[in-house]
Amino acid sequence: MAERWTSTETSVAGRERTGPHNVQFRRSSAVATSHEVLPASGSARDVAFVPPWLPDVARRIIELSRRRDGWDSYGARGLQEGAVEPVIRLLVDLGSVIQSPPSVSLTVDGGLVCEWNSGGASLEFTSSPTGESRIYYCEELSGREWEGPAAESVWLEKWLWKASSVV
Amino acid sequence: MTEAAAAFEDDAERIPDSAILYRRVDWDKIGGRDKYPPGATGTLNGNCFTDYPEWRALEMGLPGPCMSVGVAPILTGHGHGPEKMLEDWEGYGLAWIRAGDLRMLERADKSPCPQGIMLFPTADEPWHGVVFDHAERPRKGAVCKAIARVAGWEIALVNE
Repeated sequence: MAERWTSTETSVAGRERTGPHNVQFRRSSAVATSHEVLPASGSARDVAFVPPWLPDVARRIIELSRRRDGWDSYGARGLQEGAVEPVIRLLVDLGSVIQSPPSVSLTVDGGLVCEWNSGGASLEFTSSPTGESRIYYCEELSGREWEGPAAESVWLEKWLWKASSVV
Repeated sequence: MTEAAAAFEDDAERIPDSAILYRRVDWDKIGGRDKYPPGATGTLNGNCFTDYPEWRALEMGLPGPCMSVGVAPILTGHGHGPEKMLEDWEGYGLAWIRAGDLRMLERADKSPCPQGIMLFPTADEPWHGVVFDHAERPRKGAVCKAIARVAGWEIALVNE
């Protein structure tokens, strides 16, 4: 059964676990019972984990913000401010389970898409100019797919971890 | 001036399954040039094959969200090769997709997600066409990814 993150939640791994600063992303209790070994991640608000590659991603977003309307030759919009915050929040809140930096691209409507592909699994996190975020996850071998709002993705941490593993 | 299209209609007669379709790709659709080591070729992803937002499609006189392409047989009929698609777009790459692959498109889980294709010529690009999803518009991420799986580079983006 899925549960929402809360700032008072304690993790099994203890204080070294780090975690989200809000309750946007869901966590599945199934992850805790998985046979796969997942990195500690969790709820200690006071122990922020900043991925070492986060500054590079921020620089990439700044670079993308310089693209003007029509940049893709098909009339795409330049980056819209509302699309940035969900991406930063994801990378900061769940940075402890993300093993490699995302590939960051602009979408046609001025949103952002972060992509990870480990070969075995791929995940796309798309944020729209209105701040909505969606997930597309696919396991290449089985063809298993999931697509929907990020807030409804109870497996997000596990999928991020799998898709961002370094091959 | 482009004539507005009242509805999407798959045009298998003028765009047979064997027809190749072209779509321009910019580095910023695939993570940026710096993501790739020197000499490496960019990787096509689902973001290369998304629909116009609805407002933009309607502005263009299209019935709804869809994706622009160049239709190779029409382009050839005008005496041009694929490089014509990049004439005013230096630094862009060109992806190809076979029309039949779009009509018989399947998601990763093998469920069908057939696409339709019709001509939508413009003054600048008489070979211009659009690809539309029969079921859901704008096309969802899983379907964009399915297109990326059957697409290839005609003129690749290489980090030189």
